[in-house]
Amino acid sequence: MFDSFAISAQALTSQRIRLNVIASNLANMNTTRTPEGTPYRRRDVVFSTYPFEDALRVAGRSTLTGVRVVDVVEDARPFRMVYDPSHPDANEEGYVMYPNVNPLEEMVNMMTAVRSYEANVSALKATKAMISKALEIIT
Amino acid sequence: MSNLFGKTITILQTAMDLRYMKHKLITSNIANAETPGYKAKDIRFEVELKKEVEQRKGSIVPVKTHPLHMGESGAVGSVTVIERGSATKGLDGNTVNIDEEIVRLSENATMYSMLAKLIKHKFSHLMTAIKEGGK
Repeated sequence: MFDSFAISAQALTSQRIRLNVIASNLANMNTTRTPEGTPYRRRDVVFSTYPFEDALRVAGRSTLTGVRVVDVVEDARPFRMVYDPSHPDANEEGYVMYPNVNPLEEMVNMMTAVRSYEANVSALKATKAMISKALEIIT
Repeated sequence: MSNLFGKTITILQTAMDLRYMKHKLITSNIANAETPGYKAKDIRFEVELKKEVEQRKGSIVPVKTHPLHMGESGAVGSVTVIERGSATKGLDGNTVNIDEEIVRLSENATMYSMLAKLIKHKFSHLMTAIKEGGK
């Protein structure tokens, strides 16, 4: 019975990590300096299935899978070039390289992450309700 | 044992087990709603229940030669997990439709509580027979 709890909990953690990354992207929307010497690069999470040991194993592969964040990757898209000669980080032509973060894209991703989180909370609630119903058999 | 509890409770137990297996797959689908390439999984509850019941009907009940041997139980054998096709297949190859999954989740949970209630009723009937039978 507790497999479902573990799966939903894993999904909640994954979505929360995703939200952290999105928050970091939004916070660094205009950051032009990083230890690497470049402007901030947009980051994204990579989700992957995570096999669970259970009775539903078919021919050696687990059909029941959780989810987890396997990697946080950097977005390779080019930086935003803005003409601002007064900026201390401007190049010879007066252009400043700003992070490749698109606030609209981040907001949409954020909403998706929040909705996914809610869906998993619903699943968790259903599991809890089922367990308490099963316990009601004992009276 | 099987005489006291009858076949109904065994079937209800099997049905509850299958409902729970379905629940596990649905939670797994919801968890992987955004994993690229993930295929939504499911079991056909009615087909599996029929299979289980028919298997038990034709099977020979093992003879007990030791007091610790287990009697007939409703434990589920092997089930067939199918990959459900979906009308909304994303560009990343993921076939989970979150609305469908949420609906299935609540439907399945309701059926599960109904089965739990039925088992509870069966036991309370037995209890009546035990308590009131001698009066």
